[in-house]
Amino acid sequence: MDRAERDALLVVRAQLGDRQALGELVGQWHDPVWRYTRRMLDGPGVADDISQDAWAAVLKALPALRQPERFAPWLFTIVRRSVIDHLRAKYGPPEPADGDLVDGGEADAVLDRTQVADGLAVLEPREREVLILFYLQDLSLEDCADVLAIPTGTVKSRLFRARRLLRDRMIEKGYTS
Amino acid sequence: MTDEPGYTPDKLVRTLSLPRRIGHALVGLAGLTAAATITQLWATEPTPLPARTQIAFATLITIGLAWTAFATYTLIRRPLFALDRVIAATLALTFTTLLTTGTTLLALTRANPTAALISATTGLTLITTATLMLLRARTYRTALLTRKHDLEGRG
Repeated sequence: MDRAERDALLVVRAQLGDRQALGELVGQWHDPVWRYTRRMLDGPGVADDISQDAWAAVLKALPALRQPERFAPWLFTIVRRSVIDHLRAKYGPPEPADGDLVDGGEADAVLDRTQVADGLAVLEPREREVLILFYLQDLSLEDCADVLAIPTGTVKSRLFRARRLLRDRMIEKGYTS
Repeated sequence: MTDEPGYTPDKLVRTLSLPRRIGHALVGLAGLTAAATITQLWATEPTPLPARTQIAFATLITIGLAWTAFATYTLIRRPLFALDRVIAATLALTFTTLLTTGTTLLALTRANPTAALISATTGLTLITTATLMLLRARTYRTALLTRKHDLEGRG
């Protein structure tokens, strides 16, 4: 049974009213949700407030979730909405149309999770969130596309740009690849 | 990043405990029952009540309805899971049946057929609604149980 199926079983048990399953489900995703929120926002206090608001929305909507096996992208869609509401002022006008995947080149070099986590703070929210979802939450490209409400090709190009920016900023800070 | 969440998962689910929710449902239904019974008593009084009694009845009705409003508000702000829905619908059916029987009998013993008719009609509407809620809740729960068995079968 893979992660999606384990989540689906917990979701269905929780939807039935099994409080233990609900506790397990929340316990399993509590930390990833908080880490995502924390990396997107300034200060642990703000992350606490926003992630708790997000959890309230998640729990209220849980009985209506029709595809339990899609729990992770559904969860992050709601959490992201809470984060974006908070960050709206920081988000600029819509970005120029993203093309499909751009050739990888040098900037496409592999980044490990630690490097990504260390460098996130220097990125803008748009780039930061795609790196968090893809590298730190291990969501697939398709799930990232669902969460971000953009086509998969746009996720790829946004990832490419985010990796390049991250690499440039980290080199500026003295990291070596 | 070394900082940690300032709250626990337990805090998130604590407010959703089943006994607490059943308690809210019972409080709401008790408030509604009290308000309806007093209204019925008041409406079927053969002679006008003294002003102080009217004030007392109105106060008690308001208190009963306030508890109902509080319980409803508390319950609808939280998710209703399948078991919660079945329990809520069962409680609603039980209370509406008792309420309808009680208020209709009260009107009949006071020889007030109009009030009895209104009580019976209103009560039957509420009973029908509660029955439909219960049927829907049980259907929903059965569908989820089937889904759960399917998923467990894959493991």
